[in-house]
Amino acid sequence: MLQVSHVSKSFNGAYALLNVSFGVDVGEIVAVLGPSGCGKSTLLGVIAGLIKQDAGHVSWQGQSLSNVPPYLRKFGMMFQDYALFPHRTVYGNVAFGLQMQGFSETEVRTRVANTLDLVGMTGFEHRDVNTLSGGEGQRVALARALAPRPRLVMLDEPLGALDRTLQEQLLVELKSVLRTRRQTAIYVTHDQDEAFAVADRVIIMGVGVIEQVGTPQQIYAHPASVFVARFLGMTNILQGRLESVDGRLGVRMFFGWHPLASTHATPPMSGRLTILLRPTGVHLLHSESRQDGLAYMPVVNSGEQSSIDGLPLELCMLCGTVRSISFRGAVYRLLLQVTGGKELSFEMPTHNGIPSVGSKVCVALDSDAILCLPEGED
Amino acid sequence: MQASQHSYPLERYRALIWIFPLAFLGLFYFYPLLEILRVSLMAELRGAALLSVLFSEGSYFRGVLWFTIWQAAVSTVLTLLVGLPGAYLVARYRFRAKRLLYALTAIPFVMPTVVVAAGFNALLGPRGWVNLGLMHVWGLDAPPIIVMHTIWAILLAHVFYNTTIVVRLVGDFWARLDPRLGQAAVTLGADRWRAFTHITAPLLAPAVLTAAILVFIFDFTSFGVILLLGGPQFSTLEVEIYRQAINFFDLPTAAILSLLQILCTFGMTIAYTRMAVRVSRPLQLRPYKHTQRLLSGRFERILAGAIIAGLLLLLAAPLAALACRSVFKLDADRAERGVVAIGFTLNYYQELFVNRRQALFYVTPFETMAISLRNAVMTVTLSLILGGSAAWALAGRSRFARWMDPLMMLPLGTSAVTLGYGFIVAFNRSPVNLRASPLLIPLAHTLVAFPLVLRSLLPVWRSIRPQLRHAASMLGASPLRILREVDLPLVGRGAIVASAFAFTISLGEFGASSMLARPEFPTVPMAIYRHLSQPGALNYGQALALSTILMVFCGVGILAIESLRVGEVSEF
Repeated sequence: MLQVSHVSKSFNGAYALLNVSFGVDVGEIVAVLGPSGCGKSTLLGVIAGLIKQDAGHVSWQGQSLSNVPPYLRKFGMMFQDYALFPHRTVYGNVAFGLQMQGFSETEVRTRVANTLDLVGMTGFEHRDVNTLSGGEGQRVALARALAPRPRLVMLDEPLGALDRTLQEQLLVELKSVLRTRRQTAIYVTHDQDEAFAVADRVIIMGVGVIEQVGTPQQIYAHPASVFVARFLGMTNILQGRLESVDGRLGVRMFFGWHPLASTHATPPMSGRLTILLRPTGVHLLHSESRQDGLAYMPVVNSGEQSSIDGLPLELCMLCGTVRSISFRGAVYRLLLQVTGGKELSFEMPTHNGIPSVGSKVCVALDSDAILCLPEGED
Repeated sequence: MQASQHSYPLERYRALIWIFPLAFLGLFYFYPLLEILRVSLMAELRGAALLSVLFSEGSYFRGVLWFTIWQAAVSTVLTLLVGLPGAYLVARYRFRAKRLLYALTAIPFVMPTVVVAAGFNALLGPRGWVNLGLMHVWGLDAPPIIVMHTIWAILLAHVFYNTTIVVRLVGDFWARLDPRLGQAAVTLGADRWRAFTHITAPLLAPAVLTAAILVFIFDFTSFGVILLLGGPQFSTLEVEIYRQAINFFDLPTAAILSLLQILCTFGMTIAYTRMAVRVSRPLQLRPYKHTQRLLSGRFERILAGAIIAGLLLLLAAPLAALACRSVFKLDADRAERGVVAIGFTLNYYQELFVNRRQALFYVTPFETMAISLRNAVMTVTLSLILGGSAAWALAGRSRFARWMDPLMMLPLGTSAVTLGYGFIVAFNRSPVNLRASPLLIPLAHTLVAFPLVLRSLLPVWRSIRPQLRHAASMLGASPLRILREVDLPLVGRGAIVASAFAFTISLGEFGASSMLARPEFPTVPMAIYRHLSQPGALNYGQALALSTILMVFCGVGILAIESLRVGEVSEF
């Protein structure tokens, strides 16, 4: 397996990588996810041996690679914008790595044919690479990286240059190619959908540091920090404090108290907490006029709970004005301005009806709606 | 185009404007070339198969041709050896001295050959700094280093002139070559050497070859360098045309040699244009910020320092030596034999105004400056009119324009001596007798400057997008106001650059002028040549003083060009 240990690298005094450590198992696909400029490409450069780190080391199966030049590491790399050799044909590009390893001409031909077949580019052997479309170039670049059967392949924003539809189609193909070969891979991207779709494990990078490592499910369910939550598009971040009501552990927020889900790890018992309100963790209530004022009922099929975990609904209800609605097909995104002017955004299923902009609505929090984040901010 | 016809009144005259450049090239370029062809054909009829005599086994002219080729080839190889490290440095690294280095590499573009010859003379000649210094230190009676009038002087000057071409042409191309291509090769198992030989070198090859062909053309047609630094025992085709026509008055032989020269340069120019097209093949060119990095580590710093110092020494030392030598008395004068007074002197400059020989036909160097300036002013005027109209006509991008573009550039591929010789045979008699016209030399200079003037003005004209005129007219500007407020201010910078090119070229032009100038109206470069080839410290000093003045003029010209040019003028 690949082991990256305490790697640091700075350019002109600014850290691109700071004490970065992680491992990649054989056959595993690990996505490195982070905003642009967070040091992802530098990390790939260090692993490939193209960039020399200031500190730390990279090893493969326990053997340090510090003194192994890049051309002997047997790591493949697929570059952003592909970097295909413009003076060679498709065949010449894919064959290059095999030729460098000194395979016989017939062996090279067979392997190139196999690899092109794998990526669905059979018949393109003699094409000038300058005439390829974006998607074709992507496949050839993948074939070129895979042809010498590298022990590890690194893909640097492999779909970055393509349009959305093509991205989704090629992502599926790319994943199946990597899976078919049981190819150990590091997949660098700034797009969370890509990372979650392709990877066994995801590494989320902040500026030069690793923020969280985990399976896509783990990361999505439990963002480890405000940075990760924000990066994943979860922007409802609030302040609260820990409070027990009737022996149940919960969190007191500006609009009420809400119990912590039974599965939630026990947060530190300090006073103030940073709370993430999941965008999918609420459901819309519809109002009903009664003698004693307005009563709110969950907009769900009858027979479902009207209170949460036996607690009165009023306790964990959030009301506000609809600022905007953006329709996304099966769901819509609701921007709710709550008391105090704060705007929170939620994702709701469309089939229960969509409130109009400017109307006042209330939402109820689901049992797993809130998550305590370790770091305080906001 | 439809829309701009309405907003721009001159647009419909674009076809008419072709008349100026076409008439000019027709009369002053193609007609003289045809005359050369006619004279050489007649020569062959009369001269009993002169050609076969000229180039028979072991003949003198065969030797001339052979020397022309091999000195150009050796010069080209040396230039590549000197220039490529510099090209690599400017392509792949960011460093503070880069602007200085670039400014430095602009010098040879417009430095006249006589100035360069004088510069090398002041540095390495028998009266130069190095030799006089060594003689002083070692107490010698004769200069220990003999470079002047050897092949080394020629090679050195050619490297001086053309290193710039390699650094800029190859360097600019290399700078945009994606370094990830090399990295991709390395991740695929190629070591650095194989990544270079399999990927970088093949991609770089067209640029290197283009530069090499261009350098070869310049070395092949070299005139002033051979004449001034090589001395009488060396003769290239170009020098031989001059000698046959001016020294021996053998016009038919000169005509045949000119024809040969024209054929050679045309062939090479075609090869050059073909290669230049290949350089522009669709590579994914990267912006500099992705291809260049800072120097890091002691090894890189030392290497960069050595390359910069080497280029500095090559390009600046001769000129610095020239300027210093022109105000220093280092050896005995004829008048004060034996007495060696060392020190600062303005004597050489004062002598420029004196007609010491009281000769009737002696023109003081000061007067030659007036002649040269007059020529230069006329050249600038003619160049702006002709180059401006040609640029505007070409900016139309019609099919006709695309076809005309290479035609307009033809004079660049024709040697100055050939042009001058063409003028002699074409305009010495009716129907177009210009022998006594003060316009003859300015016309020849305009022809030499024309392609560069055109290339300076064309991107400017093209940068004036029709939208700008539309915007101005939507804002209420009349067509004339548009011309005044939009077009002219934009063209202004280009016009200054073009003028600077024309001005410096005219001041320093040597090949055509030496064919055409009448003895009573010598130009500055001719005066320098005359003083350099005459004995005596005073003559030598005057030549250096005059060269220094010329150098200052041309230096100002370079500054104007470098600071104001739009786009890449040096696309040749």
